[in-house]
Amino acid sequence: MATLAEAKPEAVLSNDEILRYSRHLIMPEVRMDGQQKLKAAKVLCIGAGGLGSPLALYLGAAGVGTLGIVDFDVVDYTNLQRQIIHSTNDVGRKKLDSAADKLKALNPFLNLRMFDTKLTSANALELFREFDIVADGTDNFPTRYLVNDACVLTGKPNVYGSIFRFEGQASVFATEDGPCYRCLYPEPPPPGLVPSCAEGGVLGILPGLIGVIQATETIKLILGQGDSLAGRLLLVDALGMKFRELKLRKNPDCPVCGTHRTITGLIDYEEFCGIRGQEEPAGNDVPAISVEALKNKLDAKADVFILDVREPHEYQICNLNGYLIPLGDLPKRVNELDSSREIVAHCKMGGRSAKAVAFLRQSGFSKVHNLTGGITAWAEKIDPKMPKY
Amino acid sequence: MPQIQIPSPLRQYSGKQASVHVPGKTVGEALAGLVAQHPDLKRHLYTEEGKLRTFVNVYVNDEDMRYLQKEATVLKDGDTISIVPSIAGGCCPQRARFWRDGLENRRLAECPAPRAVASSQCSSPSYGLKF
Repeated sequence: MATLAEAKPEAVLSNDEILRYSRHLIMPEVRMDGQQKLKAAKVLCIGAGGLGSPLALYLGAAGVGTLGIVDFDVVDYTNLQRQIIHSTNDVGRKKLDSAADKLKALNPFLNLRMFDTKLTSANALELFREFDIVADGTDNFPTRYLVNDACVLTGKPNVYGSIFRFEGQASVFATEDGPCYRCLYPEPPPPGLVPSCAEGGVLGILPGLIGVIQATETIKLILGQGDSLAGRLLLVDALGMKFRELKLRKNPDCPVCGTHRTITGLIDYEEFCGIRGQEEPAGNDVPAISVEALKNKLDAKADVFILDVREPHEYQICNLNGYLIPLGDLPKRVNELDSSREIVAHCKMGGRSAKAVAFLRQSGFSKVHNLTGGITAWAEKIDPKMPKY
Repeated sequence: MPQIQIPSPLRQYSGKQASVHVPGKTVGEALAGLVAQHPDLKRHLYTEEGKLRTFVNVYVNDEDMRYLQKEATVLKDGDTISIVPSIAGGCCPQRARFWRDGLENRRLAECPAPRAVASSQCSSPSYGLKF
């Protein structure tokens, strides 16, 4: 792994620091020299979200001297259920500003380096070279592969964690002799075959559990203590509270760290993951109706059939008293609908219902419209008492 | 009879079961038994040519099948097969939403072009609209 500095003069601890870290200093696995290694270490966290929150807080508390964070996002109300570095007052602020405030308050001895940018192929190598270890708390496949490749190319260990609903994975990739993320998964799944967090949700404590495992591995790497997760994939099932591990091997045919490397520089990761050019939200081209126009029709007692294509658990949160057929069930339940009536289809934001409208139009329904902005727009513009989710 | 562990992202295609017992002397036979019991899993595990997808890793106990005899790996009594798909969550809703929208587009685009309908729409709705 990267050379982690021996105690440099600047890593000498002040009396205040000695007191702060006393519970480390009396442990034989850390001691003064270990704490000085922590102070000399430079760790870069990618993302200040679910995984990044506990990662940064514990690394900061532990006395990792230089802590970098890359993030360009803003704190959203729905983040607070799991992104514990941010508070209610921070909603609307940059995650970096919010995280910096908490970390400074936690440990004024930290050297914080905040990078208000998206990690890209253009900046990753330069950024990674300034750090010893990279901790990957990102949320999407293109950035996962970017972080991995940049770690391999710069020789920095990649402390990996990933979550879905109530399951998580953790490992350490790209150590000198260990496997990398591509050894495990040479290619990402094509979009569509693995559901995302937004579809599946995520248990709020799970990023805490996995992020703390990442922080633990990071600190072990710095101290040179214990058995790292390099070469092992830890699988965590929070619901069953089961921890399993699988053996990982360095793949000799790996395109980025194998014996015949074909990837020797960073590539276009969005293209690699098959999502290039798909930024446009779906369904802009189906006939639509605004929430105001729907309200007028309902007030005028017009004959409008409201079709809700969300899932039953979403209907439970809020609804327009519509007829519920989840989008996935629509093809087999289409016979429940009357094509002679005017139908307004809606979902949460308008994406799924646009697909429903496209499907229904194709199936011979000529009087079907998509509710622009979904029930969220209704809650914002028509009924402020309705909860948003 | 070997047990196959189904990861949560794929449980919606296995009748919500976390593990399934299927007959089979080899990994290949057990996986074939699994998709016979749960046909919806098939396209998530296999390509159209019938090969296991590259982003789906299959483990026998704690060992990657690729470093054993792959699908010909012989199973013993009590062996556990784990399907370990890649997951990417960190998790941020805005970007995940963008990702989901992207994948819905892709799903529709992957469908065969129907007669007399725009090629971006799907002739096989039970496939195309399924989540």
